[in-house]
Amino acid sequence: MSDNYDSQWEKIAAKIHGELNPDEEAMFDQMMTEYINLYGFEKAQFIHDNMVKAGPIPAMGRINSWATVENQIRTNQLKWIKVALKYAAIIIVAFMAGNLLRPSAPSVKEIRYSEITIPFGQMSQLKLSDGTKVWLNSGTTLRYPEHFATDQRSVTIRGEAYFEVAKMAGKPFTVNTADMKVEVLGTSFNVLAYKEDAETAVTLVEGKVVVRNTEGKAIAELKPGQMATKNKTETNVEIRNVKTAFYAAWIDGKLFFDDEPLDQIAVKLERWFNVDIVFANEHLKSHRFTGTILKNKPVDQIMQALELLSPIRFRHQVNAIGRDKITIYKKS
Amino acid sequence: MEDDLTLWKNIQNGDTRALKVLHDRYYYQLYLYARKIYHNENGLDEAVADCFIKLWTKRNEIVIERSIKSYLFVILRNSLLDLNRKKNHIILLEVISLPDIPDTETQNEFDHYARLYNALEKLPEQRRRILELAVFESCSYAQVAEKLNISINTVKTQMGRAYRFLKEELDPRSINLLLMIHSKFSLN
Repeated sequence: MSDNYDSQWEKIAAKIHGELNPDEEAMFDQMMTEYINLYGFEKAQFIHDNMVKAGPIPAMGRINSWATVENQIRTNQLKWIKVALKYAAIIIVAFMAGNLLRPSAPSVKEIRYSEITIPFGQMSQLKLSDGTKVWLNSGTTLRYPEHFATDQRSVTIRGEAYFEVAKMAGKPFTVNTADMKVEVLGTSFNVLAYKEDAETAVTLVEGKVVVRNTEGKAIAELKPGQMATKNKTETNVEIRNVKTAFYAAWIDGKLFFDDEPLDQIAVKLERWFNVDIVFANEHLKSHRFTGTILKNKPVDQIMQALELLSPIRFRHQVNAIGRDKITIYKKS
Repeated sequence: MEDDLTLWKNIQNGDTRALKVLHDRYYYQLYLYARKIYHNENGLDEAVADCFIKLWTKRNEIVIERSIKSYLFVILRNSLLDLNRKKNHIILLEVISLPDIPDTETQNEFDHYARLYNALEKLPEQRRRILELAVFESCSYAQVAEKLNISINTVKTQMGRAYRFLKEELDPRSINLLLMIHSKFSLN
């Protein structure tokens, strides 16, 4: 048997993979009458089936993984050396800076600003000159410079925007709204500040932000998962822990509601779908809903869903100038 | 072969070689566990490497209660949950449905498949490549030959040697037992 070992294993492999021709099949069947060969075949088949179940793993997976670990350990060990060198470098540069001062970025007066307004019923996304990504919700205006100043980055919004700010050491990013300034050190957060609303809200997904009042004084510092709300008639800020998913999901075309009254939901729907919503009965405004709305569905479908969940009916009309109006009234 | 506890003592004393042994010992089980939660390959290798980096960084702060192996899985699971929160901004994972943390004592599917991958790693590179094409990508011998620019005969030979090796690697004891039984029966 040992002379033919190779040839027998070749047949076993070929049998598993269906590669035997009729002559070889006959030889294989003959081979299987010996228990030791049958056993070998069954084991090999078992190995094959388990390989299929386990599935492929990226080649070099384990080797690359260890390389990553080793590299990181080495990097951490060298960190303290780097820090020492960095401080040395800063001292030298500060010393020389006095002689080399030559401003290359525009001074505050020379900066040119652009303004973009997103109409109701639409949403947009843009990238600023530093790589920061901004998503703008319906009815939002963003004022931003074409090139940022040397020492800071500043934009103004009215409406709702989600920012993913590019990290730039020494160059904080500030979002100005009517009632507060949000200063950021490179990260992702949502700002809600429509003119018509009494409240401004900042929700932090990742990173760190400092919230300042309009005079520039710091009134709160947020950690990820926290939301700060400020009413324009008050001076203090309220901080809560929230599910950030709720407040940022609009950038993916979804809106989550958690026990929210219909009149607040209506305000959001008006902006998203560019419709006017009117209540025939005041008390209908306080019905509460929890759920998810997908923006790419027609507004009627959403109203129909709300009809099923509460004693309301709606009527969708278009007036003479083409403006959509939805009236909500009581189901009789 | 050093046991986990000895390795851990060495790691706590700053021995990176011991860390590597531990890493290589449990890499596949951890990878498979992560893949079971995630079903897609991105970020998995990072998550496993991250486990060991964390273990190393906190080696003098950690007190191991159950076993090193269980502890690694706990770190991994928590890592994966964090990764999910950061990258997607939306929590997708239902925490209740995570697969159980494997126990040292009971043999489980992760150990089982890990043994298989360990064996595969020992195959010479071309033989392994041929086997993987035939098994994972369901290529015929002719297709394998074409993809790798070799003869069908070579594929045939290599496949035979691959299975022979794997069988002997994963099921060694029974050969001797069977030879004994076999020789007993053929003495007639």
